[in-house]
Amino acid sequence: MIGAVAAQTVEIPDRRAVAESRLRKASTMTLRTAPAALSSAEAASLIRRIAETQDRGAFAALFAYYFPRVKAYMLRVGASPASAEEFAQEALLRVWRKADSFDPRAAAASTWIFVIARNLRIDRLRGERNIDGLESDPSEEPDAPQSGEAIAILNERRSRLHAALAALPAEQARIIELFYFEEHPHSEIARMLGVPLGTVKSRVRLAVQRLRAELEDLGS
Amino acid sequence: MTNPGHAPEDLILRHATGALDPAFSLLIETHLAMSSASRRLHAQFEALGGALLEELAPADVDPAAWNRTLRALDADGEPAVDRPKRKAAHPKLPEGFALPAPLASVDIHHWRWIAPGVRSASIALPKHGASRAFLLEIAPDMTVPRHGHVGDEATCVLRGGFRDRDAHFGPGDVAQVDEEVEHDIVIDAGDPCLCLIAMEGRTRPSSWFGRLYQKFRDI
Repeated sequence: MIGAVAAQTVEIPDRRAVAESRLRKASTMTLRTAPAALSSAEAASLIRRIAETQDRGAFAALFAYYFPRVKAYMLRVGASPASAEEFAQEALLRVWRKADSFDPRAAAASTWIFVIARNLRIDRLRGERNIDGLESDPSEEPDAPQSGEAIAILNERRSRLHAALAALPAEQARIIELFYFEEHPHSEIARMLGVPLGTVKSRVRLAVQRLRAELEDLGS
Repeated sequence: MTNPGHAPEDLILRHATGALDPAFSLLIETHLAMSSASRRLHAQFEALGGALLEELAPADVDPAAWNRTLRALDADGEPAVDRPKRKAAHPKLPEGFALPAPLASVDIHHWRWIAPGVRSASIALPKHGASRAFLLEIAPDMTVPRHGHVGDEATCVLRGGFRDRDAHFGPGDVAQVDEEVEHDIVIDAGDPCLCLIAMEGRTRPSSWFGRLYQKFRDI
């Protein structure tokens, strides 16, 4: 991969050569397999490095963890393999471009990247949308360095979230998952539970209430 | 400000997952702008999306993906300068009343007379959605028949309020039709009740505002 990039640098103009050289340097950081874990604090610090110094090494680490997961998400919500790859690339590009609007006190990195991927899904799978949703306006956010305490809170919040998911009864966890990943969750849930569509709503309400109890205090 | 019993938790969840079409998204974003408790719930649902994203089994990735992404990144020119946003068009609104931000940024058509004491203004939304959204204003003290079907529509009160049997709905509250019983709702005394309504389907609205709207719209 690195050899191929180097071969292309021979006849390109200087400006490109500089870019390619940066690319070569960053390429060496590509990971072959997706890392199994990336803590909230690590992810937040990578995004901060991208925002402050356009650090491609930090981007490579974030890419290695999130690209395969965002692609998996796009596949689950109905994108073809080629589109899923393209959407995942666009999502990670948005992470790069919008890194300075990430506020680690408002949301975990995983939440922020989920919202980027979700909005992309809405834009691309359903046509353009002119309402930009609830993305925070960076100009409204106070600027404060992340304290050790804030990092501890973030890490705890995230592990509690995973615990809350694990604590749900299997049927309710499945209902929640269908909501996040299926285009028509109500009919999928009706099929899964073997109940009429009209009954689904009360089951969903139960799952949401249960989850809500588990999630109390987790919102920011 | 809003009544905790009148938060549309299922719609908030579906908004967080990206499943709502533009009309219902607009309604939920308007509700969120008016309810901090619902904003907190919405943030929890988005955080859950982040957790689910992390728990997904990573997909196989084309080995060239990283280099392709870096090339795309290098191909980015200077960031586009944001064009100043055109001011959205709105109908005449009550003195001293400001639309919540999500509604303020969309174009809203002129008021149309629907019936004595009732007028509506449709909202311009992207065409791909299956639902539509409009403002409805009803004079104080009016009694309106209501009859609905599950999931057909949601109403977010912007100003004023109404009583639906035992429940009262005020600014920020969302009323959803979830049974097919016909009954009356009563608009509060004082100010007219201004609502945002999102409704599934384009041709056959079935519930109270919808039937009212359909009955009189072509007069």
